[in-house]
Amino acid sequence: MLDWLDPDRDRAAQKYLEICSKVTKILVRRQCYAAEELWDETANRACHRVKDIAGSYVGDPALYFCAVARLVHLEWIRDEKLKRDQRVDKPPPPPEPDDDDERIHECLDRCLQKLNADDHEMILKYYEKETRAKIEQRKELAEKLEITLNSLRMRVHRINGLLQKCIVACLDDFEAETGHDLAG
Amino acid sequence: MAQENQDVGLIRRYLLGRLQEDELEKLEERMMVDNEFYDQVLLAEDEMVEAYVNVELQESDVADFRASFLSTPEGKQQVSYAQALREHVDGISTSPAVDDVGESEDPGSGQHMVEAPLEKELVEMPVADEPVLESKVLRPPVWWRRRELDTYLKFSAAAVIVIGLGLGIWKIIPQSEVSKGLTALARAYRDQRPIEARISGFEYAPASTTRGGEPKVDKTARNLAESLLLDAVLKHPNAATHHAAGRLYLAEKKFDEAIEQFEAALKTDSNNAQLHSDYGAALLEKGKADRAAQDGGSLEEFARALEHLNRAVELDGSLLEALFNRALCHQYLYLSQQAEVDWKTYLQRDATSRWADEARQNITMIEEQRRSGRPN
Repeated sequence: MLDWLDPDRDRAAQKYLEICSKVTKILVRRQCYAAEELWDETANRACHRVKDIAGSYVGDPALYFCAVARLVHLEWIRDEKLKRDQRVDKPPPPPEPDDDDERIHECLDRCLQKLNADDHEMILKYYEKETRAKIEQRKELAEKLEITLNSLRMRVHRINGLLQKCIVACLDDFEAETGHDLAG
Repeated sequence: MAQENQDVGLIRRYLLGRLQEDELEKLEERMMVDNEFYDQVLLAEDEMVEAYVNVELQESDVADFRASFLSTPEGKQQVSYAQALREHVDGISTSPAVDDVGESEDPGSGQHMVEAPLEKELVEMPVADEPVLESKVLRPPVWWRRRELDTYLKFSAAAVIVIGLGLGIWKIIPQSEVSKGLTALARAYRDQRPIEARISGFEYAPASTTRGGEPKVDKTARNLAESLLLDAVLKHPNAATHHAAGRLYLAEKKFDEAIEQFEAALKTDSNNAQLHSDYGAALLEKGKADRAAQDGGSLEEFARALEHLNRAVELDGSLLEALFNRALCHQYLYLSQQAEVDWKTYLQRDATSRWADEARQNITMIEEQRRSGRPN
């Protein structure tokens, strides 16, 4: 399948990851709470079909994945509805714990420390001020870094992604250490 | 400029779940093929979450925002993270978003201000006169669980693996990369298993019947698995990553490399039954390969395999992979009685799977050999 995405193996792998990210995001934005599972199913189906269609398919392969994902999503909606209809007595959702907020902050502190000094400073400055002052602050920050405002936003977006990933690992570590289930 | 403004409005409606299905499909297709547009969507999403947390979102948008973002674990996590960061930057505890909304008014205009997403220049947009008070919804720590929130992080996975390294900001490869790699590995060999022994985490697939030949393999999935698992062990050498890399090599029939990885893993995780089972499988398969090549070392390898498989069963008597592999190992050691006992023990724990069918076939074979008086 990589050959279908791009003759160059590295570019093909990158393209595969991009497709994975985009399809997952699209499913999330369609309010699908099982986006990862649906991506797995999408990838499975696409992989199985690729040898049949690769020769005759016209267009960007990413669109094929998108179309398969839509189909998988429709099936998921149908199945979910079926499950809901069959469920006679729906158990109440478990109560949410109210004592974990502090841990998120602890983890955020730890994860911020793991950033290099420049990124650490950038992310704090980016979010430092309110409203008009914030707008000016961001313009100044972009000028100082000699990048456009959009590039600055993209950098912040990536750092945010890393921080969130780090927080997940940190909370998991906490859960493993204490046996405390964050979901109650 | 007109196109940009159109895009801003379109993306905003998309994020708030206000597009009709045909518009939605067109936008999604554009996201798939136009990376610049896709980045715009990501940035607009960030900024909308930020505006919500700062109570800068127009009141008329709040209900749709909640319906769109707070209905998924990923969206809740985004909001929760943004709130935590807001509080951190504000010096914790008294975020105006939560506790003192009135102060977020712009003193000059008397209106709340919001940053308009995606425009080249940040411009001010008037928003609702009445602030939206929301204290609890911004603190949903339950959404921070790994399995539920990994989707958002796939952005990072792609960005991080491909781009983040270049920026020099990626320092952590979490366990999820290993599990993704193992999932890809299992998928790669789901039509035909590469070796006769069982590798932990692999679903049933018939064994390859061509000796020394390449089994049916999804090369894309295998390449992905290689990339993720070898990267993980290189950057974070620990028992889990060594074990995962060992399974990769074992599936690829690189037995010496697999053995090396399993030995490294055992140094710090000596009581892991699955690890012993996989190590035993690697030794067993190496012994088989040596026997086929008449290398003379097979008995020693089978004996070492048996040691590890016994240890695996000792640690976890219900581990099906270990029971299966030990039965095979006894068979290759010409210990047909023990092999038969092992297969029957296996069937007591798993009588219905296709692995069980293979166990029954092996029992039949042992019985036939016994009747004919020849070794297996």
